[in-house]
Amino acid sequence: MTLRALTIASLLAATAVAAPLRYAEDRAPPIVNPLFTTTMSEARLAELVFEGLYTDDAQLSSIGRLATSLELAEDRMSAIVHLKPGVTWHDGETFDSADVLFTVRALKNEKTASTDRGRVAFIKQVTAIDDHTVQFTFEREEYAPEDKLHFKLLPEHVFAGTAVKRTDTFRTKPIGTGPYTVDHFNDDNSISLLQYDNYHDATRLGAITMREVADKNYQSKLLLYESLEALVRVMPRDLATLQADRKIELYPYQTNSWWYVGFQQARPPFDDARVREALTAMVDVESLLAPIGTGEVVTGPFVTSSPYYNHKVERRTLNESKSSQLLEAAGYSRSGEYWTKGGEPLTLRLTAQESLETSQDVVIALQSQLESQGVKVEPTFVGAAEWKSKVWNDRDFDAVLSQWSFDRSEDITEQFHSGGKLNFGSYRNADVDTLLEEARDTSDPQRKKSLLRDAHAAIAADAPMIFLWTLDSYSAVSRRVDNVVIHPFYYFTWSREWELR
Amino acid sequence: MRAALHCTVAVSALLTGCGDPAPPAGPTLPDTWLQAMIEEPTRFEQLLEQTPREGWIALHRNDAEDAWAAFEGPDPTVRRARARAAWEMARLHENLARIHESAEFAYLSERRERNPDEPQSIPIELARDCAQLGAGTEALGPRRALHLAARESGDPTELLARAQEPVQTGEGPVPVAWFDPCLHTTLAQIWDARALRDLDATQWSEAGAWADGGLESTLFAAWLDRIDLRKAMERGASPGSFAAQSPATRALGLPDRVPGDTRAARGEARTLDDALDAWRQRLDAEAPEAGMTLERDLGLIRRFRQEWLLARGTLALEDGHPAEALVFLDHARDVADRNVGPANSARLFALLAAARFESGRDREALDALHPLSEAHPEVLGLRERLGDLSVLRALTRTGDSKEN
Repeated sequence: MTLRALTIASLLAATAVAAPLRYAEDRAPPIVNPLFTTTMSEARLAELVFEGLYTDDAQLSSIGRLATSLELAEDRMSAIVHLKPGVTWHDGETFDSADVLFTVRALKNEKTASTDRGRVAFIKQVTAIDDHTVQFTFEREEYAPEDKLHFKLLPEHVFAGTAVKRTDTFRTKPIGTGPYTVDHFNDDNSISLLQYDNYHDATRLGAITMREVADKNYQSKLLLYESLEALVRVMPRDLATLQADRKIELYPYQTNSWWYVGFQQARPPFDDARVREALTAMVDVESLLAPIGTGEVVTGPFVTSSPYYNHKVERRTLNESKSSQLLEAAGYSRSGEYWTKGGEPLTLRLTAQESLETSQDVVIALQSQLESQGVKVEPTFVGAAEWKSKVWNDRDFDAVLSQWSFDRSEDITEQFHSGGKLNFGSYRNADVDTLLEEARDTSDPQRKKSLLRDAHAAIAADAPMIFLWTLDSYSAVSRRVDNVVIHPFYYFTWSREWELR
Repeated sequence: MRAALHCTVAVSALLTGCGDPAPPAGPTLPDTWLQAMIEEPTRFEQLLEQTPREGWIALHRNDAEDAWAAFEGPDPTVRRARARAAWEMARLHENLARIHESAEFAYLSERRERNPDEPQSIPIELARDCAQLGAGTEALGPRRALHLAARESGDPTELLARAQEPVQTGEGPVPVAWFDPCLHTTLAQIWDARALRDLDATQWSEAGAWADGGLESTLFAAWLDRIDLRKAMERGASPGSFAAQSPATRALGLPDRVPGDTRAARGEARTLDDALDAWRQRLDAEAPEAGMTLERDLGLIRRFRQEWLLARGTLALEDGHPAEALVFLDHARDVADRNVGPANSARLFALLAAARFESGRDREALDALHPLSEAHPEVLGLRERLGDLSVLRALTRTGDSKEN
């Protein structure tokens, strides 16, 4: 084929591709690998590219995606799952039992170090009965194993072994079975996805583009000027403007999220509960929240509407005399600008992500509040890679400003159990460990509620974090997009039905 | 008449501007409460002279219980206004009862399915018997007598005083504590009875006297005029959806409803917005300044919009189409205000919770119920049971959490 013919062909191909649905994320996922998904933006992207054996239907009940049926053994200790035939990976290879076995083993492999390892902990063993039938053996009785088989599957044929590395080339060349293939990581950090031609189900959007737009105000403007079709999360202060615009519709996207300032309790002086409590008593959370918009202050690790939220835990309020008493008890004195101990000022190195919505506003206001009460604050804003390295891997921080989002299980074990993979602050409380373990194991909902309310109270008393707030969360979508239904956590689960006019 | 209108007294007490004489505007929604308020604000002034002003202030801020208490007296106009407030309370509790009865049944039956050998101290059918306080509700123990007494006397005070205490059952070492699932059913019945008493009727289809009134029968309602209200009652529409198929709204060019069709529902809601936008623009140019000030201060068009969307949402729910209902209800909510107040009624949150619950979104239904906690602390029992159900349904899940 001549160069000219190639050019014409590529032009024709380009015109054949439908206009993409463009959505904005504060931060582009640097990698696309469900084994290492740690942020909501990665989870949303993974939802477009990868699939699990089961997914949620519109009523949030499990429904087969890559599985056609499941036979649960009478003793509930094993199940046989039949796989959907005719499914292919984005590189054309056939999806089969080997991929299921590989994914489970990769997740379980300690060398993989997946933060989602806990999601397959209920599986004792997985074996292939034939190319499209697998048998799972469980650690204990399972009543609805399909509810746990939602984890995304990976293609066995592109990996050398089950010890998968985060740095593997797969991270930028992901291959899934999902409705969209990653076409390109672009220079402006946007990611282009195309409808997968051989997808095993119907899908209506021809293309999707994820645009990185760190500035939330700018995101809203882009949507208003029709340079975006969807804005994943609207800043509460922009809600009224966007609701009033007749080109846009708002959809609730409440992900059980709460903000916090978390202390590194493995290092002094934040290993001293009195210091943490003193700092907590120096913060006027309401006034930090006010400029951000509508939300509600939380007293512990659940959102206020959660069945686990303990409404008896009192909100900590600004209390200068209490903070002074606590710091004096911890050996600090104040004669000059700062509280000091051994001649060293009480210093808080506060790390925040550059792209976390309005984090700069919060950090500056927090710095002002603490400095005015004698605490030296050294803020640092870091990018995604440095955050992963400093916070997730090295745990090298005094305090972090961040946000956790939970699905409807609201399982905080990984964040607050002493062995939790997401317990970056090294929080340890044997009683809380027991409460969390019992809550995870019980089959009595009322007991679970009671245990987790107790955990809320115990955690709040230890002040491992300054619990901040939960924000009202809405997604804004152009009216040109029809049939929009948003999954309450993964967002794009039902995007196959979306249609762009 | 407008020249004589030196200063309109506004419910919000913010309306202090004096209207200049203006040429009469052409009728757009003739004989509707919206048009009356905006084009003839003196009628509102007259209403405030005839009925307790505090009642309208409370009704405007969506505090129907206070409004009901404020509308005191035997005057027929006041009684019709009081019926309006009682109607609102009845619809609120009707929706809460709808959720609590279903959640109770779902929780008990799903729990039994999961643990067939577990001793059952609460009859699964209990909540299904709430309306009649049938045999199943004997498990309520002494609380049942409170229900009967409240229904008989029309006074729920004692029942409400116990609303935040669980019902205890069983004599064993670990008595089972659970909340009364019939509370909102009884409250809905009591509020309906209060409304009907003021309308000299025993059921809504006979409450045509409501439509004999003036502005007090329609103000802040989804039904735009008295004809709409009368027709809805005559055709036996459920009270919550009185205006859902309102002839008066045809003037806004709304398309016919397609039951269960979420796309059509979205189209209806958008048409409504477009029509109201256009109408507002026209009013801006033509309506008297005093009327437009009243509109701006009290958010009259916004209020009608929300009420109508709630009526449509109620109709969709009653027809068994919660997804369609959610379209209307999500449109109805003013997202800039998270609490019950002038921007969002308690009934809106209750309907949102019902539609989410019936869509399988039990956890998100809890989000919708949360704003009711302060204004209506009696929802505690419902929140607890819905929480139980939500936890039960997620027990078999593996939790997922991510940053940001």
